[in-house]
Amino acid sequence: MLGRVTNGTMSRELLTDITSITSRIAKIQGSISSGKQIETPSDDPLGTQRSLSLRSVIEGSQQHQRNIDEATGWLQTTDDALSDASAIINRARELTVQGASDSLGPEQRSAIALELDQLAEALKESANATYQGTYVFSGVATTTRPYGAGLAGDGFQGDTSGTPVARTIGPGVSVPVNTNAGAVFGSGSGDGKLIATLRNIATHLRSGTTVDQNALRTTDLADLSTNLDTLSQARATVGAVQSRLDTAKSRLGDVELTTTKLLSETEDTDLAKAILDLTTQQNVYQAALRSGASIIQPSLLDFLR
Amino acid sequence: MSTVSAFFGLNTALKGLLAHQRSLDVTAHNIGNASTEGYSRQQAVLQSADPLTIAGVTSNGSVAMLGAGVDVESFNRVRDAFADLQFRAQNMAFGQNDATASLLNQAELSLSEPSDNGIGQVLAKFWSAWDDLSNHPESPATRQALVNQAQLLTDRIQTLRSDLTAVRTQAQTEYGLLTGPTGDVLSAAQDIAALNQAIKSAVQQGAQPNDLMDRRDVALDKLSALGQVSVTDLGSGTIQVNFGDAALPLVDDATVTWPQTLTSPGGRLGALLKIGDATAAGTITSYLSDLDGMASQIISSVNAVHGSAFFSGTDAATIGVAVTAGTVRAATPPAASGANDIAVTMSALRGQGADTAYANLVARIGGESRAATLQQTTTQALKDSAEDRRQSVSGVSMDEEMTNMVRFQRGYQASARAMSTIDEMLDTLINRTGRVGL
Repeated sequence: MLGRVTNGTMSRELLTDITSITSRIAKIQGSISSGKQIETPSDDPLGTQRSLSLRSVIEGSQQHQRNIDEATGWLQTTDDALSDASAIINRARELTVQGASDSLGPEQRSAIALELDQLAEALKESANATYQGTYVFSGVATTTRPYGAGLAGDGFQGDTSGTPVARTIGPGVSVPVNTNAGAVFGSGSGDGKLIATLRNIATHLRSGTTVDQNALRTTDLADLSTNLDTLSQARATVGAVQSRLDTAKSRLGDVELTTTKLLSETEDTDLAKAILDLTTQQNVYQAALRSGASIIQPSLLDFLR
Repeated sequence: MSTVSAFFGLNTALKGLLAHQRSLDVTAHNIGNASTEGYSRQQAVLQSADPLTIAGVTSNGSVAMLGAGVDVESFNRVRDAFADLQFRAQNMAFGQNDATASLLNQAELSLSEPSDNGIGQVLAKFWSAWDDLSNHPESPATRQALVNQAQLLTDRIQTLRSDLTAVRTQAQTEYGLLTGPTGDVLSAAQDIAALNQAIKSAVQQGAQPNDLMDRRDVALDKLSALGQVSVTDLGSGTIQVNFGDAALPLVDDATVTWPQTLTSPGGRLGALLKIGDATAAGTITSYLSDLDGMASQIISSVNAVHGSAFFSGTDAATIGVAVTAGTVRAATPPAASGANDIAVTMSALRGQGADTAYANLVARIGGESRAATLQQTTTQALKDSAEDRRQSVSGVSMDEEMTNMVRFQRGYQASARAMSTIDEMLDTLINRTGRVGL
């Protein structure tokens, strides 16, 4: 405590106090109007560091969710095409059973063979399915059409190296989303895959010899079944990947929600507290002004006449 | 038996009148300078005059001394040299922390963190652009978006570097101005040297140049905000001033030695030297080297995954984008249109070294800026309290001056009354004595 307090000391102290109160009010006011309690890193250096890493996590999980949406679109397209293919197999089986009947004449078998040709073309159309302009069955050769038209187009044109088309669904986690068309639809004559089988059935129907008729009833139906199994396996794989994506997306959604909440707790102003603080500071400010007005003005000067 | 002149009392009363008049003059001077910076209140030191020795006036016949009134011995300034020392020490600390806080605040503002526009978010979006590329490796638009985002990232890093460099340059420029030929150091030193001379000649004439000494103290106060000041009394009113860690005294009597080399002068100049230091020890320079480290980490980690130069340059100043939409690699060549192994690996860099290095840099600048601001607040309070202590000794109190004014006025009136009483006594003696029967 000072022994001798002068008028100058009192005014200067009052001014210092009022300045510090107004700067505190300005700070609280700023945090209320911006909604942020961290406006510059120095407001809370560790909080800022945390907020930077939280923001990076949020941006990452949002991006991974977008990646999953992309992958889901891709898988959906694949699944639709595979579903078309399995309808085609079922139709082909009906036609094969019908065509294997000895009661049909050559014209009728030829008509069925024509429909089978169309089924083969439709199958290739399904395999040429695109998602956002890219061929989903061509492996990484996404701009190459897998199959052409007619018998000449039965050969698989896409990537045969087996390099997966991968999508990142989490930090450092990627899943292959493409289905190998070569393994499912095959590459035309002689490989026993779906296209070759359809072409075989059509050939057998057209030739009409006893051996071919027998083949229709036995090997061709068996081949269709084998291919249906392969197709089902491919669809099951697609479904499994899709279910993995769904789980990952729901987890990423949770992460985003939790992290956003944490970020808000780190960065955002606690309005109730801030407004309470503001009121307190305003009261202090008014008290300081009032006491200043009553203390600074009078001195002995006012009482000596 | 000796006698005392009948007029002796008149002289005694006159001395009283004059002494109170001088005291009133000093009071008026104090009131007039109540708001003058660095002014120390003054007081007239009164002392009873040498008494008149007279023999045989007392009943036992011994020698007696008759009081002869009052004399003004001197006009003092009320000042505590120790309070000056304390104030200057705190003023120096405040000057240092004030400059540090304001420059570091400026440095952290150039980060613009935390926000959606800072480098942290631009970096996060850069990694996202790689994810987008891995989703659509065949799309030229995605490649272009990635190149644009990379361009934005390098621009922001270079801008931050030049903003930080600007703060450093500003510190160097301000140091140059303060210590230059028109700077505050030289002008304060010249004031002190000139006042030394004026004070010396006044002291040699036996006077006490209170107001000149106040003005010299103000110059010393100003100097103390800039750097460490130590004062040595050379006698006969002059002082020697040592400034910072300069080799020679800044002011020695009438001699000013400036410019001199300072390495760690303390005060504002010390802060400016530390922040503007272009060697590795400098505050901003070390931020720049952290930023360079982060940039080179981005460059090396991205280029390593890319398999060829994606970024050019080696640090924050030289970082640039070396690829175009046509030459960005989504996959190891020769690659099919949909291959994306590079993009997938690249997106796994998110949240790794570069992000951490940047977050550390931000936390470091923020932490040091916060510490400087706290120090500034603390030393401001300490400086204020040192100033209060000094003012409690030297400051002008209006109540006190008013009381003194009334006191001296009454003293003056009473001395005048004493004089007129003696005058009436003499009137009786001179005009009425010996007129019996007239």
